[in-house]
Amino acid sequence: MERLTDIIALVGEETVRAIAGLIGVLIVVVVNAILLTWAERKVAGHMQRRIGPKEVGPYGLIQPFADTFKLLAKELLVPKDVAKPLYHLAPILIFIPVLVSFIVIPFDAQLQVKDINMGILVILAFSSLSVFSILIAGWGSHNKYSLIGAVRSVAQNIAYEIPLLLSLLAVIFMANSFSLKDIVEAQKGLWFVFYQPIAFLIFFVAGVAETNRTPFDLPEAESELVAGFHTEYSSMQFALFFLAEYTNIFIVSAIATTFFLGGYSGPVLPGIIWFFVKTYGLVFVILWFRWTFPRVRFDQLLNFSWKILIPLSFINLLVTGGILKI
Amino acid sequence: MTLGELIFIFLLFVTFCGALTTVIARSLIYALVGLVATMFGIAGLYIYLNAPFIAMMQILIYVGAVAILIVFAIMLAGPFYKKPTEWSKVTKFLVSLIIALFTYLLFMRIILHSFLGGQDTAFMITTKDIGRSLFDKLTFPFELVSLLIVVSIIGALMLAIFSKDRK
Amino acid sequence: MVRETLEEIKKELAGVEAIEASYAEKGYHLAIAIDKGSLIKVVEYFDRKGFYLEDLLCVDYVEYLELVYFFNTYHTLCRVKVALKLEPEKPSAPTISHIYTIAHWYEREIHEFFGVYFEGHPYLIYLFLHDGIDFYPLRKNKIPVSEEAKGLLNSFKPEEEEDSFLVNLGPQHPSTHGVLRVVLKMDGEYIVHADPVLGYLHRMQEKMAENRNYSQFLPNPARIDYPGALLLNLAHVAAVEKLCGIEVPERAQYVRTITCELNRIASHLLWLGAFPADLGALTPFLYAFDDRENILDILEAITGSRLTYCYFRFGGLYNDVDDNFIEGTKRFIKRMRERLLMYEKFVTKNVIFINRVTGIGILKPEVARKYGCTGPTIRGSGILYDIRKVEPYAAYNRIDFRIPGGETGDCMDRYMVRMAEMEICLNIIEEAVKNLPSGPYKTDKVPKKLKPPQGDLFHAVESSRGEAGVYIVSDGSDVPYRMRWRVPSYSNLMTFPYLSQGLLIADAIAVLGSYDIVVPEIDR
Repeated sequence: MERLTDIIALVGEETVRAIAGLIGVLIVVVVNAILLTWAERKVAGHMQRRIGPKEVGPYGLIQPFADTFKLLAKELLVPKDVAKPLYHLAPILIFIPVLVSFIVIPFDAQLQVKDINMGILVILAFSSLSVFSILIAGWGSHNKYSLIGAVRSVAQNIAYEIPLLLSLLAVIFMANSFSLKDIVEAQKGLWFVFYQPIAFLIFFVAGVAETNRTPFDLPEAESELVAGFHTEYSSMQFALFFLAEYTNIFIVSAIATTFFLGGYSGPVLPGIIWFFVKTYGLVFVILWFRWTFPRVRFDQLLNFSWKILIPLSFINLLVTGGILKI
Repeated sequence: MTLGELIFIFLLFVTFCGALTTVIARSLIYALVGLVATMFGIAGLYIYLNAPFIAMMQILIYVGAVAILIVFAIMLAGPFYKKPTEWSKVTKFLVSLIIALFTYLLFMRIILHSFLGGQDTAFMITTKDIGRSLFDKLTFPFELVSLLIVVSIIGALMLAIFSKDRK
Repeated sequence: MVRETLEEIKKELAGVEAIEASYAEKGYHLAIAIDKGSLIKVVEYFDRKGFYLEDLLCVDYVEYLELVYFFNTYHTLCRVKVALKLEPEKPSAPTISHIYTIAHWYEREIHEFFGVYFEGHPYLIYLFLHDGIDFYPLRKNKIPVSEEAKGLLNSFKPEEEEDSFLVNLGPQHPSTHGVLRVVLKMDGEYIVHADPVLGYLHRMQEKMAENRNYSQFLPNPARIDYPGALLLNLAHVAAVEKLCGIEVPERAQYVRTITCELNRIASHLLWLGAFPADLGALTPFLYAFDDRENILDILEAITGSRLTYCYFRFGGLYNDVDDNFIEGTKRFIKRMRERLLMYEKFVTKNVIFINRVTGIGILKPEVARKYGCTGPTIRGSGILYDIRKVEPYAAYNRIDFRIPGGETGDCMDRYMVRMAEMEICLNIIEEAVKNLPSGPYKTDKVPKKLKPPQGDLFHAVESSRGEAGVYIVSDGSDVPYRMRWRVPSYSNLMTFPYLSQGLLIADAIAVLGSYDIVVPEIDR
């Protein structure tokens, strides 16, 4: 114990915190992705009158590990004529926003890698990078299906980023801060979801769209575009896209929890448990969507955002601002 | 050399390399990747200058919106993109020289006459200051800019509608 | 109707030799023999009168080739056979693809298999045989393909133009249900032009039929249309029975009806799984398969197989049904009725589903006629044409049932028609089970080696996708001289280039799903 404090004193507390945070984030990302692949299969199974994985480990819990090893052991196939630098850059790039986002999410009152006063802006700014990587994946793959998927992804992203920002802005007005921790603390009385039900719905819908999940999974619509932007990816590169997708689901749910559902606050149980219960509750809803809804069409998707969500979120923002000023 | 200086040099390096790629790359999409790297480098420099808000806005707007719109444009033209006729080397050289000189002079003028000139401490700008100056001191130009944007949006919509009719 | 048509033909088409044929023996009402000069005139006449082109085929009689055009109407049964004799050396005939669009593909097929050149055909390239051919496969003698014809056959080269690019939808694509390939010319997400490329599952069933006797061919129809195996099995069996004049006992007719309708429901359930999956909803697939499993169990117990059934024999059935079958069927009807209500709640009333399929891929009745579409595809467009009603076979004339129809002819209507059909199938089964007579399940008078008399015959049944017909030419031996399959998916699919024009790729997938195509059936 003494030696530990010595080491901390030697390299400085900030550095230790940063390294510990990074390791923690990586663990959370991997464990979460594994848990979610398992959950998705189980949820899908039970919704489709079957059981889902059950052979590998108790309740099939080890199944995702088996799959991970299978993917790792597979050959990395690079098709002919791909733009190599872009093709290899994309799966790495898609992981940066995922890792950065975890830095500012408060899992508990004390459990946060760093409380930046620009918290939410960091997440939003870096999330644009994931679209960018989908784009270069689509472009670099030298495949028309990938390209169409990538173009869809951009149009979708542009359309849904605006209502997403505006709905969060309404909460930021109320909490008067960009810091996620301050926002959680501001909900000590009543959760923001009760003040801002419309903003919550808009955020959730836009969030599902941003994570490319059904019914908004157009960039990877398998019945139209085979697999969309990741058609040509195999092995670990495919796994990285997969991992990023599941982590994005978690992040969207985590932001929704933090902004609208009181984050880690809750009675009796420790904060971290409350945080995960709420987050995974929302994650479950997103999984539920996937197994019940068909996919919307491209123009319907854009119309929904431009004609309904964006005007609605503007009105919501105006009303919030007006009420707060009075 | 301290850690801070190292980071500064690294950011400069990223910015510079990105800018160079943007200019030199023969393929549009690589040029764009370079541009995005530059934007990130600049954002890093802003953070170095203790202006995280501007840094985040830099990424949000330039990477999240501008760069993606550019890719969108490239992709729409993509599969059927025809290379324009090449300029001769002399013309290229002359044009780049003129643009470089113009930019250099412009920047020199701004830096020499800047109200920040002479201060050697890093400046501190908070979101509050930015909001105040936008809505108090600079209300008129701010509104003017928004008007410009509205006009351009309407123009773009009209263009889209008319070109759709033509098809 | 037949008389009137005959008299009208005699009046309007002077110089055309038209005789009334015996429907009971031939399966068609009128036989018209024409020459090359009057072909266009005759076809135009039938087009004017609202006939659709049921089939277009060719038979090689060695001394001459015969092109056979079958016309029929959607309202009353009036099947007309128009025969055109051609020279065996360098045969050629004028194209009718500008009158009946579906002839475009039929003519390509004949050109490839028989070497008949169609004058004025815009796009006479291969349809099935990609690797190129040295001999015309369906000619009786070995006729080599000339270099000139080879060049024409292999001239398929889709090219990209400015402002558009090509996408190959298939042959390996999740929503082409097998190995169909469609070359899409796209402008962004919009389809400018679609061109189906067939032949990835081509097995030349028609040539196979010429090499084995009638009973040896029994298992093959199930391989032509695998989801509706019994229905095509019946088409083959009933056609041969008609040709040889074999009487089928009443009990067998009823059991044929019951099993066919069960198979039809199974086929529709397969489609019900696949169609929402094309739209991105994956769950209905497993629910539909769960129900289909029940039918497979029932049919397995009596037929011995689960998918490619071969249950009907000439003059009856393979074996009799037992009480377990009756009980199982009754239980299934009860269960299925509840399930249909559930599908209506979860799929039919889903907002996203409704928005995806309403108003998409509208098939107008007039267009459907030009393509010779049949089955739920045209019933969705409001043409209530069902072979079970107009030309009853098995026990359908003893059971009262209604034909469901749509109004606009969009994907939603085709969906609703199939859903309604499943319910009606249940009613038919219920009634047939109630009235199931006792008695023998097959006749003893069938000879071991069937040798039908010389002649030809067309027989059609309503398969789950539309009118499936078989045309048999017999030369008196135990092997068919020519056996031609008229399959519904073929003509239904060919409307895809027309319907998908200007649609978004997502809508085109919905349209493709709404046909319920079966690729092995198209390719044969």
